Amino acid sequence: MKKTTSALMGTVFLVILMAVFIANIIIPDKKNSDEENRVLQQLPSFSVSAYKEGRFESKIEDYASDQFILRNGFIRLKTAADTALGGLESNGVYRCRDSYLMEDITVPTKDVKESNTSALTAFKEANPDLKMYFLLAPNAANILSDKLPIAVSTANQNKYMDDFFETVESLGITPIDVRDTFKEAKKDTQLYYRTDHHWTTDGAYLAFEQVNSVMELGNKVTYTDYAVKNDFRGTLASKSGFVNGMDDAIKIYLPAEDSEGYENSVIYYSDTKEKTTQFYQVDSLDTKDAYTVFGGSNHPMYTVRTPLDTDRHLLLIKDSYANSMVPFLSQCFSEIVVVDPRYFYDNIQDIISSESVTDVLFLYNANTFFADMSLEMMVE
Amino acid sequence: MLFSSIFFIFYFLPVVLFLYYAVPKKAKNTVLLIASIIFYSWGEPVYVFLMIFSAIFNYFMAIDITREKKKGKKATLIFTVVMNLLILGFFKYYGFLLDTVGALFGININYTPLPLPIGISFYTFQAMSYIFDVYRNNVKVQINPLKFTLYLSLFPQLIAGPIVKYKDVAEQLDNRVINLDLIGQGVLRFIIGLGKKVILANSLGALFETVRALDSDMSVLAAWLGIAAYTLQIYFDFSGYSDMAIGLGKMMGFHFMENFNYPYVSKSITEFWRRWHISLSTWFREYVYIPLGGNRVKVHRHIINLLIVWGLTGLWHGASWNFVAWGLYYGVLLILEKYVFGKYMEKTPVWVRHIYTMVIVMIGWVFFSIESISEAGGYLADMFFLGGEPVINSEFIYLLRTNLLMVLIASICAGPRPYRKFMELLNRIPVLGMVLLFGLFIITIAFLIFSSYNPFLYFRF
Repeated sequence: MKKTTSALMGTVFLVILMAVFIANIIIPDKKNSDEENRVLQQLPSFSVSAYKEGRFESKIEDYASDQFILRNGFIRLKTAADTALGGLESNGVYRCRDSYLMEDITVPTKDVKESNTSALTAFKEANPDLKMYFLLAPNAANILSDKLPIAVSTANQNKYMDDFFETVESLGITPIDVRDTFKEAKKDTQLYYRTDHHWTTDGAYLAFEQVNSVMELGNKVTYTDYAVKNDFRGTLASKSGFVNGMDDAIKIYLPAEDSEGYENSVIYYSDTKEKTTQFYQVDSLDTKDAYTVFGGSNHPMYTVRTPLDTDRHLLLIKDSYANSMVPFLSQCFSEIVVVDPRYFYDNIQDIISSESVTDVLFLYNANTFFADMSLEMMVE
Repeated sequence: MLFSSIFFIFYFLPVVLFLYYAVPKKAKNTVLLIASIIFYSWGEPVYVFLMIFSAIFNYFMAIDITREKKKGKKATLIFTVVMNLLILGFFKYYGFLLDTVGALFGININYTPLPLPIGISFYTFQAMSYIFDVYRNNVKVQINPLKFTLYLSLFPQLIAGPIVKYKDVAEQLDNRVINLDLIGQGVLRFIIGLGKKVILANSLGALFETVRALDSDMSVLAAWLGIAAYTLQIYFDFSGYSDMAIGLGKMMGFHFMENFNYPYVSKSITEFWRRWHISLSTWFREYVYIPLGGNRVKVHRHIINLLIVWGLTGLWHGASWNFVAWGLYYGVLLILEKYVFGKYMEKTPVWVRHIYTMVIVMIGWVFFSIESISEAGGYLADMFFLGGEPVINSEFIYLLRTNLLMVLIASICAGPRPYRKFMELLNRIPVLGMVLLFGLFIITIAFLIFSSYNPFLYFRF
């Protein structure tokens, strides 16, 4: 190496170090990261005891990375480099054909299986007169497995689901299995978002039609769909950092003009004591997590009352997959109590009797359900 | 603190370099010493006193040894060496000893394992090189305690070598040249080393971990892919760290010895050990093997010498029997190459010798990477069709598909050609070479930043 070259190289390096150092100090720190949806590490204060225990050191190292200039640009560069090197997976998300990102399949552990089975058994025994249904929705990597990259083999979700439905049936709970419907429909309908782990409103509506017939709800309302956002990038894009994947549209279904029998509902969120007649929170569309257009974020419990000529009251025990289906269900029950067991700490039996519940629908997606044990906590 | 962290590169290093270049010559050692102490105490504030103790102890003992030597006595020398080994032994090997004693007598000894003080194997060996060389009159005793402490704690080579011998840097502690040309050379080495560690070693390590976790999806080819990944990982990890140390040293005017010389081009095990972790093998050669008589003794004695040296080399790498087995494995192979098949090897085609060497080395890494000897045996069985695993399955195809390019790039980079070509380019078209180098630096930073990419999974509702 020529001396001039190495001297220049040394100079450039030192200039970069100093410039980045100064830039990192001058540029104000950020509180949150929109991309990662988390609070970023702030400059820790020094104390001898924190230093001795290594807390100060680890915090300031996190601070250095979290507040680094152009952090998000560097993250995109890294995933681009991975993609260039043939990487197909990042943080448990696969880069699939047709610009889909898909979550890996969750394998239920023995503990989860036992916990859920015992919870359902106890719940059915405590409420022998209630009609119960279980809709366990398949995930994208199952239904759209043909889009997975060649040679990727995920766990066999169908086997876990078959086993689970068998258990449920033996307990006297009616399974609602939408897999055949979905496999049939996937050619013409986009059932899952490309960059989010949820089903689309089209997918949710298809599932609702099956719920309608299995539960004999006699839904009469017809709907027209409207795209309310065309550049939705969901959680899987954030989780993986993959920059490919295509923007999706978010659709909402509103009653068709010529539809008969549609009644407005009143939704009451018991945690925030809020009352509204709007299922769709349009303000959410401009936030990072646009899926919250469907009924906002997590509520432990809320009720939907609709002035319909029916005595049927539904208890809906669910995860976020249900959020886009609640508006359809609202037109079939005069009251729906929606409970998310992961945040719910009240006595479920009290609610069943005070709200005169007649039907219970469990609605989960398989990946979430097979990793979750909160049902047991709710029943106990 | 690790070199491969954003905090080190963009906070610690600029501040230290700025102060180091800004202060007058007399104060440079002080700046470095303070920086080194902070560097070591980072996350390890207690053991820094152990290191300082070791420095002070060896400093005084060396002075004593020079006095005593005139009277022809050795007592202090022996005492010093024994003390050094005891300290190392206590912190590094005491759990291992208790386990072994317990296993021998079939009893269960309960103890709380001590966390290993970082770099203790390195600095203890450095201190002993000084003691031996003082005793042998190879080097003048150091009168200034700060300079000796600086030698022992010099942060570029503190945690992972190279094991710098005192006599090699004695003069540089007093007097060293610092200029932009040297800084540039150091920058080149540092960036290359950082890239080796962060881009290649870490990704290869992840591949090996994946293969290790395959369990019932294991296949023969996956076992080979996994150990190939580990083989490359350990080279890029360790040599990358040495590159960074050498590069940082150059930026500050120090010249450390080379530690690796493309070991995976070797055509025999003897050659491999001339190219792998050179600072350690020369240390053992100089302070153990030659004093034992080296090869100027009868054959059986020479064989014993080799086994002693290689048993110790293995033990140096870690306190468990698999490392001893790994060391002795090499001892036996070196003896075989010397006395049994060395003469046939010369007639064998080069590519056969190369494959032989690589297979031997990869088998060695199985025992190095998997601490339980029985598990290592199981892995080895998988590699050689004895584990009842299929030769190939879809897991392997997926792993190959997603990692092939990386493994190929890594294999090519393990040889001398890419570096040579890069240096040629740097001479012909310096600007292009520099763009490539700093491009590599930027990608490395992206990898480092990504390791903290930690999206909060808010959608799990």
